[in-house]
Amino acid sequence: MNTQNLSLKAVIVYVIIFFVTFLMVLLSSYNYIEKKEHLIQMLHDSSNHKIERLTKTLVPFLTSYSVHEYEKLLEIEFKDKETYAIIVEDFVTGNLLGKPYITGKIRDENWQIKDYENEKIDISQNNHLHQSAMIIADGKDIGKIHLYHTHHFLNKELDSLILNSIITILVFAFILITLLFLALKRFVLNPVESIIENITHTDKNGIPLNHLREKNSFELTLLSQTINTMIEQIKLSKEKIEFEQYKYQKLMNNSTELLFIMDINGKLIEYSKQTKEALGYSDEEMKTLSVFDWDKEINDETFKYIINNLSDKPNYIERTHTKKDGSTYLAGMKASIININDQKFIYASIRDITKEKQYQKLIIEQKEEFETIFNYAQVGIAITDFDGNIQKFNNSFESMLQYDFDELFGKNINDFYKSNTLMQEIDETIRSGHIDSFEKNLIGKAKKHITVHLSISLLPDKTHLLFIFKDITTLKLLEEQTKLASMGEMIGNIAHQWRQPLSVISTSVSGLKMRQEFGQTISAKDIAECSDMVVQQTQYLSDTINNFRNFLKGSDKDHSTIALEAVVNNTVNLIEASIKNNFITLVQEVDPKIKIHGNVNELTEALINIINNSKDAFNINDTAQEERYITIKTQENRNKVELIICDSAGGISEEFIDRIFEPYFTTKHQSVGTGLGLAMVNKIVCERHHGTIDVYNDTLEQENKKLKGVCFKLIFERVN
Amino acid sequence: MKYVLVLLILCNFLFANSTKTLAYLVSDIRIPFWSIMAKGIQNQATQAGYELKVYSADNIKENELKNTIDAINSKVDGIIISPINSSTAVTILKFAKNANIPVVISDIGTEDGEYVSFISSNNEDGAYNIGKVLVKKMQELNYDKNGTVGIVSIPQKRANGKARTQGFMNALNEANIKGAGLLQQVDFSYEETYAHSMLLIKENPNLKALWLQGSDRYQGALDAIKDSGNEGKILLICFDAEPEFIDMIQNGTLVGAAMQQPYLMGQKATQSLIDHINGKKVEKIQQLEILAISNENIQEKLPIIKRNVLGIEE
Repeated sequence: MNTQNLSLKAVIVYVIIFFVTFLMVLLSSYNYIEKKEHLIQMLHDSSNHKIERLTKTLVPFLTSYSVHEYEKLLEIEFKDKETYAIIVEDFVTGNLLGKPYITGKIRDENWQIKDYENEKIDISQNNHLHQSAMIIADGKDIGKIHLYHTHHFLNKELDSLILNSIITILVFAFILITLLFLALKRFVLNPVESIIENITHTDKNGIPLNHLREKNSFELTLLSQTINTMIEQIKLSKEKIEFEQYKYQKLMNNSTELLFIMDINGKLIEYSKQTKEALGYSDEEMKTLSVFDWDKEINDETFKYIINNLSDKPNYIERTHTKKDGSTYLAGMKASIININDQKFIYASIRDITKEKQYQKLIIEQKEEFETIFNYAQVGIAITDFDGNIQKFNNSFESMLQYDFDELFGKNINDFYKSNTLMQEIDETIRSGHIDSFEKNLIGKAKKHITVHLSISLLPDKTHLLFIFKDITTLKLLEEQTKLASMGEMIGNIAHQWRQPLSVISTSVSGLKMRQEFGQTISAKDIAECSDMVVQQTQYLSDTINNFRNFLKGSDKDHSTIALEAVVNNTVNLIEASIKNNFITLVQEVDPKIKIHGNVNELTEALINIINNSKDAFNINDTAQEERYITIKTQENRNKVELIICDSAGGISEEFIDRIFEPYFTTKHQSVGTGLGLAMVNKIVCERHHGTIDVYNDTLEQENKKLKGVCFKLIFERVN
Repeated sequence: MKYVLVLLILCNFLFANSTKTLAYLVSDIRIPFWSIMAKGIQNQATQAGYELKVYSADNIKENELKNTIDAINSKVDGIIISPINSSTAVTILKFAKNANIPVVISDIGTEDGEYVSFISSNNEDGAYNIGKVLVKKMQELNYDKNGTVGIVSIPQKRANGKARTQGFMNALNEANIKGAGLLQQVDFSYEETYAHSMLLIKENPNLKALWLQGSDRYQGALDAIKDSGNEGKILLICFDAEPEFIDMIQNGTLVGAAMQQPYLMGQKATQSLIDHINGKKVEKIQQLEILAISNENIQEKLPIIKRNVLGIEE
């Protein structure tokens, strides 16, 4: 902006001042001239009127020789200050005197009225105006009146008028200028300044930040609206350009590929951030680069050859690019010719395909590896479509079902099920992506029944399903065997527990029989006492049977809030006899208030397995009878509760301690252990009750003896 | 021859210088008041060795002006004026001033101008004193309780008229006697005086006295009293004097009269003028006593009345 130019405000002020002053001066000059003429005319009129009046009024006074009276009358005529002198030539009195009698009134130097004493009046002084008229009575001149007026006061009045005019001009001009300026300021300058302020209040791109106010006069509103529309258009264009630039920059910089443009001589014109970073040059250095700087293997001939083979469609070329630090990478380049302003440029997008090549190799290797795993995995693997049609399977799947490859290929996965097809599980897998291990029975070739743990997963291509079969037929069989073994042990326990009551019954009844055989009198009381004893013992036997039946039936799989004490008591009831038979001292420190969410029978089975494991260990290790202790304790740890079962059977070797929950893992003789007991414990606690088990060797202090053994810490969520 | 001529001129000068002349410009010598005053002037001038020229204007301004010019032209040593009015006096004084002739004003007064002294009667005191005479009479007749007094006055724009009314009313107010109204004379005729008197009598049933501020038209008032049937009931009292008033006061026709002393005034004016001519200091304003004459003091004051009021020289 040229700051030498006057501001609009200053121009308006100058123009207003000039025109208002000019108009006021013109008006005042006109008023002055008119007023002056008017005043002069008034003075003349007044003078004429006065002299005319006096010529009439003085007649009776002159004719009656009332000299003093008309002199007083003359004084009255001095009421207007312009009258300087009134002089009467009294012919009547003059006749008496024999000489002219001249009398009248005149102003002295103080402008006071005094008698005229024949002094000479200089009409040139004080701008005097002299008028005279004859006084006539009955056609005869009886006197002459002279009237002198002065312009002095007129001039003073005119001077005053000039002064007043100047003051009026100044005041009115000031008021008018102020009002005009205020009005212009209010209606023109302020809106214009507001427009200028808004227009000059710009962002870094020089675009006004705010819209202009559109509540002004019609013209300014139209101007504001037009400017606003322009601003809006500029903003939109700017946004569009910025967006395009943003997109361009994003496309350039966010591309995983290295983008650059070079001229047909190979000089780098523009490049993406990734290109700069990939080559390792600074921006200043990048500006000086050409294709020969990063492609050391290219020469002019080769470059021209490549250029000549380029078109507006991308051509794929693989080249080795050299970075600033001398390292190289394999570049997969798509290059094409682009025209910008009728000039040809080469647009190239490059990918560093060094890793890609490495990955390709790795993928091939992994594929081969996976093929091997797939084919030689111990679990059966099959891949089907969503309808269950088998697309691919491995050797284990073949051998598990005992079909040949040709027999299996083309079969449907549901063909291996007699009833209850897998369609429901397939739908669930398609919906949720995965179904975890669940047990299922298949029918293989020659109607072979196979129990499997089956997991189904949706493959990443979302069109195929992966079936993984784990043959647990043998495991199930072993579980059954374990159960039977447990039942056998239970029967032993029952036998132990029945032995005492049966002995009591036998003793009571045989006692009666002996008394009868010996001829002793058996009273009704004796019979009643004996009957009560028998009933009491048979009730105990019945309860014992019920306990075992409830445990073995295991029908109640529901979980509820249970006291750990109930689990411990139930366990002790069931194996109390066995514990005693094995000379084991059971120590309980169980808090009856501690409750968890679970199933008493399942946890009882787990506890029996742990205690049986300890019992077997005592026997295997041949632990002295007086050193056989099993402690069962509960303790709280924050929101967890811990059921800790420790024995004094010497502990587990550290090399096995991490494997004890594996199925079929046992250190015992085949005749003693199946290797499934602790696996069952793990399943019940961890899977069924979402607890954890911590196994560790510890020293048990009992009766001042320090005995080594193993501890099983079962950790559950606490229920309040 | 040449020496004879110089001697004659010198003699003439000495002669002329030895005979001093005064002029008395009077408005109307036919009026007794002024003729008595002229006697007083004449008497005093003669006593002082001055010649006196009397100029009567017969109440005509032209004559008065002409008399003034004549007197000035005759180079009198001083002028005593009793002007037609105080306004015409101004012109006389102006002319005299221009001629450098001293002037003493005897009665009437002037509105403006330069003069040696103004001799006049103390009208207010005189009116007050004659008012007291009337009050006393009314009290004697027990008229003072409800009786009122009517006034036939000279024009009140005159200074002497206002002074007379003021003095008289002061006397009445002191006695709580109410006025019955005031009617001013314009043409000073018998008819006017009669009509004014009759009007006051008719409009004021309690009217017990009439005061006439002049003297010459007393008969009009007397006739009105008589014609209204109030003879002997309504008292009459006057200002100024007529020769017949001496008898009328004595016989009770008039309760009394305030009598100016024109003869004395003329003497005083003349003496003041002569004193001024002789270089003596003279009072600018001099007021003479007005005699309040009633039946009670007329005998005592008769010699003074005859000389100073009526101008009867022994």
